[in-house]
Amino acid sequence: MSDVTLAMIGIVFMFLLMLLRMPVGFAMFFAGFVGFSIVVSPRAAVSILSTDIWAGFASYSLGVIPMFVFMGQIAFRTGVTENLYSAAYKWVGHMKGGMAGTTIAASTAFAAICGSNAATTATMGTIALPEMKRFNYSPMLSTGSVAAGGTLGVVIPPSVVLIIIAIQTEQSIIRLFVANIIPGLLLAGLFMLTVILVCMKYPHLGPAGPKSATIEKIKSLSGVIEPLVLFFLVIGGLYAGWFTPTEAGAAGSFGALVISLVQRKLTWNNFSLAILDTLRISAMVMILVGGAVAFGRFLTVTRLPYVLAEWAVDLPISSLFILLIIIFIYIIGGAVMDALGFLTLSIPIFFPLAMALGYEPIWYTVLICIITTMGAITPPVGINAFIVKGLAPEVPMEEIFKGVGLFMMAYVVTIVLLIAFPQIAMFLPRLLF
Amino acid sequence: MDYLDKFNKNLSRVFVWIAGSALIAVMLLAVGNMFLRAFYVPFGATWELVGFLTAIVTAFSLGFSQLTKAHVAIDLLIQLFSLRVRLFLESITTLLSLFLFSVVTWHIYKYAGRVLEQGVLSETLRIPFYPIIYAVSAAFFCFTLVLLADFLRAVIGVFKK
Repeated sequence: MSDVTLAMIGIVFMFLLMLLRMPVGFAMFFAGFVGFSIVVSPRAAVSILSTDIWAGFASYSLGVIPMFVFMGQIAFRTGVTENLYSAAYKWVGHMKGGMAGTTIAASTAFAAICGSNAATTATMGTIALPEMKRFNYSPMLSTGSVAAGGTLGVVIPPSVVLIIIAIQTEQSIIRLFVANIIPGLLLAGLFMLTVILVCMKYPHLGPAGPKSATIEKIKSLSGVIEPLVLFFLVIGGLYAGWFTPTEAGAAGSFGALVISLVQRKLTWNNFSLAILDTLRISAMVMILVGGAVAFGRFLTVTRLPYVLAEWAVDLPISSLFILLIIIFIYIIGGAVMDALGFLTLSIPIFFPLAMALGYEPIWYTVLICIITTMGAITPPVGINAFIVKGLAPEVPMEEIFKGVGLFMMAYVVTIVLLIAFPQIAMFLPRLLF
Repeated sequence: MDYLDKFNKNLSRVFVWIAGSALIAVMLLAVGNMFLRAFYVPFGATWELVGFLTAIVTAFSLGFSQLTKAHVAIDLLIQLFSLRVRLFLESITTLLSLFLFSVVTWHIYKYAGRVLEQGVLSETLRIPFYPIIYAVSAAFFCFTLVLLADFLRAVIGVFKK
């Protein structure tokens, strides 16, 4: 049996384990370990397992993961978002659908300091859902805007997903962060446009709120300053070369702690909850990364990614068509699996293929990040939709999915624009580096 | 079973305290080094220490993450089966996980022994770092104990239901 056939069997075996509900990281680890044992030797597999795990866990570079997760958790637990939400509300709350627009705008701002879509959804949902209910918003629009807005947590930097892809594909974290800024803002803008169009056609879905005076609008901006300073400190410091990504995460966490202390929102309880969640998420992410490394090593010794790439390059079809197939796989993968899980397992297979087809690594990363993030609001797994359900148990699941369906077109338009105009992602990195 | 669950919870609680302290230490060390670099001279061993502390942060959280079921899994297919079949399948996948991470634990432990025997020192501080590798293997052992409890719970569930 050829090594490539073994690799194919390995992939099927891994998916089978996942379907039997073995955690994704464990399944990748196990399939990689068994596969490497068969293709090379069991002794080499266990040797690599022990040294690789130690090297991975004791890595300065991977220290970036807990640091950025911690920064987001501090922001999430200490309610820094309340000020963001009230400021956004003062500016756009008086328009039809203004509160849904406020939710999108505040999610965009929160995403700039939090790299997780689950944390962004939970944070914004806690504040926005009761408010929108109070103003007689349709549950469909309110839950949809919270779930869709939450996905910006991953798309707008800093983003834990982007950090992991950068580590896996040996790309610069800051370049990926910078590249995602315009696509992230484009997506947020299209979400806002969706709210406007929906409320123009069906005004009863999002009634207008009271108008704020200009002075109130200006005063409200004071609550936005600290998170914005934090964002510019982290991204600007990385870009200026003041600090490494791990230091940026540490500075961001430290800054978030200082802000919450200044705003008197830091309590022992929310501090310990932030630490506990950081530890849970970091361990989960490290197992995913470790599993992807083990599985990637197995695929590398079988040479499957290279054979696949060579085969695809020689196909008598355009590279765009192959890209569309990859996109289709990512849409399905993102819909049935957690975005991070699917990205970590698919990158060893598809990243070399995309590179062989001549695609720009940064652009390709931005594209697949956005596509898999869309999976957070698509059934059946749609994690953000389930988080919203947890926050608004009285709203039926179908209603929530109908709500997120309103925002799906924004994703489609962003993806199409990114493919048609790669400059959307490449403009800032080319300008700045 | 209750005894094992209680033991796992208590052990994880201790490990989480250690991991949380290491998390804060990483943050303070990295931020402190930025200030030192800007205003004085950087602390040369930051890279190495952050690496060691990151190992403590992540490895010591493994048991807790498994106790709180933090790991990403797919429920789509398994939901179609009866509870007994689900528990049976869970016992198989948990047994495989238990086997995998027992091997990992044992080999990290052996690796620590090799590092000790060879007298390997860290690159910057020139200190022996085998105790940290032993600590990581202990953290993986705690993780496998949680997996063992999950496996036993699933097996008991199959026969009880």
